[in-house]
Amino acid sequence: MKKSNLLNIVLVLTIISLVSAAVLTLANDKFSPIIKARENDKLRIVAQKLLPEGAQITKVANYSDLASLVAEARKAAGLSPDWHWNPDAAPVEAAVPAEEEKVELDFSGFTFEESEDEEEVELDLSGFTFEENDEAEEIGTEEETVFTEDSEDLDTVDFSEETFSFGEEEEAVDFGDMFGDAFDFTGGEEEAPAEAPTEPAQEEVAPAFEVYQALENGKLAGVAVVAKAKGYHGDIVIMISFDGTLEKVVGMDVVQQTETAGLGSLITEEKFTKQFAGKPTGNPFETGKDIQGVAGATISSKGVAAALQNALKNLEQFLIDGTIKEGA
Amino acid sequence: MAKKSLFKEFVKGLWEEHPNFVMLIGLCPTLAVTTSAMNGLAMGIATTFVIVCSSILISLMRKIIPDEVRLPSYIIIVATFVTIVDLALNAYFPEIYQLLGIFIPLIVVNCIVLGRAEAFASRNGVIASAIDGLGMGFGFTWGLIVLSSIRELLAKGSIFGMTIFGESFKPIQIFGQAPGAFIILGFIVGLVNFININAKRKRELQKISDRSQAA
Repeated sequence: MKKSNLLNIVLVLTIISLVSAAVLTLANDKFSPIIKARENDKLRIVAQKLLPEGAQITKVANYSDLASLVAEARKAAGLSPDWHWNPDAAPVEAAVPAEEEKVELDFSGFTFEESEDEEEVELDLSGFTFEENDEAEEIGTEEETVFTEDSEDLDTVDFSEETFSFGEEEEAVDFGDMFGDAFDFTGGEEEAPAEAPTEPAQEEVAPAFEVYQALENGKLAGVAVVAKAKGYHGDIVIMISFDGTLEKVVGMDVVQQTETAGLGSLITEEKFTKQFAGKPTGNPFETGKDIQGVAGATISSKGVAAALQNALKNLEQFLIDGTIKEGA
Repeated sequence: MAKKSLFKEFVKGLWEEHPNFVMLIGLCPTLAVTTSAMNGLAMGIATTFVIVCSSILISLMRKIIPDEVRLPSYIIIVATFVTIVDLALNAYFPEIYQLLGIFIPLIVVNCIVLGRAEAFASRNGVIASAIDGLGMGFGFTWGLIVLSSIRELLAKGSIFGMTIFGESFKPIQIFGQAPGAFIILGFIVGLVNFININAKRKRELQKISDRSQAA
């Protein structure tokens, strides 16, 4: 066998890596728009299924618009304009003026100041903020590290160093981008501050919170909410839709799940999902109480219940948020 | 002569050196993704694409790649193709992508791919390597289809999504899960061994009888 010197080895490996990076950059440029478009479509299609037919379905970008639509619909139905998921529970944080809110809930204020293009960021972040579980805090800290450049994102830092060691050309930078997209090492957060105005920062397949509204003749005919909770294996993402007054559940569908085949995965079946239609939103949504869980899949059923609760909690906060009480 | 040996390279992957049932390599995807025939087919095609492409490229570069770093080089080449497959599946076949999930990226470390690169492509010409990869890929694919069809039939009563047993069939859940995969694979390997051993015995008997006739 021929003996090769160090230079040769380094050269060959570098060339292979660079060519590979270039090829993958091209592939990513070609495929990722399709993937992104489809992911957006997916939620829209589910929303169309769950919301009244013939209504004009749009993703909600501005919570105050939705809040006033809800208030309108509720007034028309003779209900109090404020909607609360569970009036008996401790009242959700009282409405605070927008300025104060900025201090308290740091990035909801931050995002709302941004331009309209940021729809997704705005929604996601506000969703995260109001969530009362660990996830919200996690995201919160990550967001902070972005600003302070703390050592939280060790992976990211390491990786970018590694990237530069491959070569100082432009391609090396592409390499980093490419891996960020393909393998999601960075999780999208890192890029947020750098190029926030143009690209939605959250690259997650399923957002933790997203709202769709259905308008019929200018009136709110329904609202669909995407929510997420831990299941047995991974995240369960559901979409739940309500009527315009938010008093009744219209439908529920599981958007994404990785539960055990044949057991937990039965939460996607109509047998399970159809029980939610027509339930009043005042329900506690707990398995065993008002949700009939799937036999043999307690944790998956509980995951769905938790996702439902998240959906309602988030929606409540999303609507309150200071402005609606002032406006009404 | 050359043609005949190329044919041989192709056929050996289909039975004689069948990756799943004879060599018992690449078992991770074999066991994990064969819950339905469609999954098996998709995994087989994806893996075949990666094997053929990486075999061709590695065979082309076999004189350039230094011996000391051949494995990292192979891994980069294989990973490149796998990532392309991963992105393409995600873009055009989202349902299959959802089902195969992590096992697409895991093709990178599939023994069959690296095994062919190391054992064949790094020592043989481009055409022979491509044919060898194709044969191995097809062998892998039919292995997966057989295994996954049996499992789908028992666990869901259907093959390729078409119902075979009808409504009254009570699915046998375990065959849809990992233990079922091991059980079925065990039976198939046993069957393949049985056939091979029988064939060998027959050949030997034939030889003996030929010799005695000649005598």
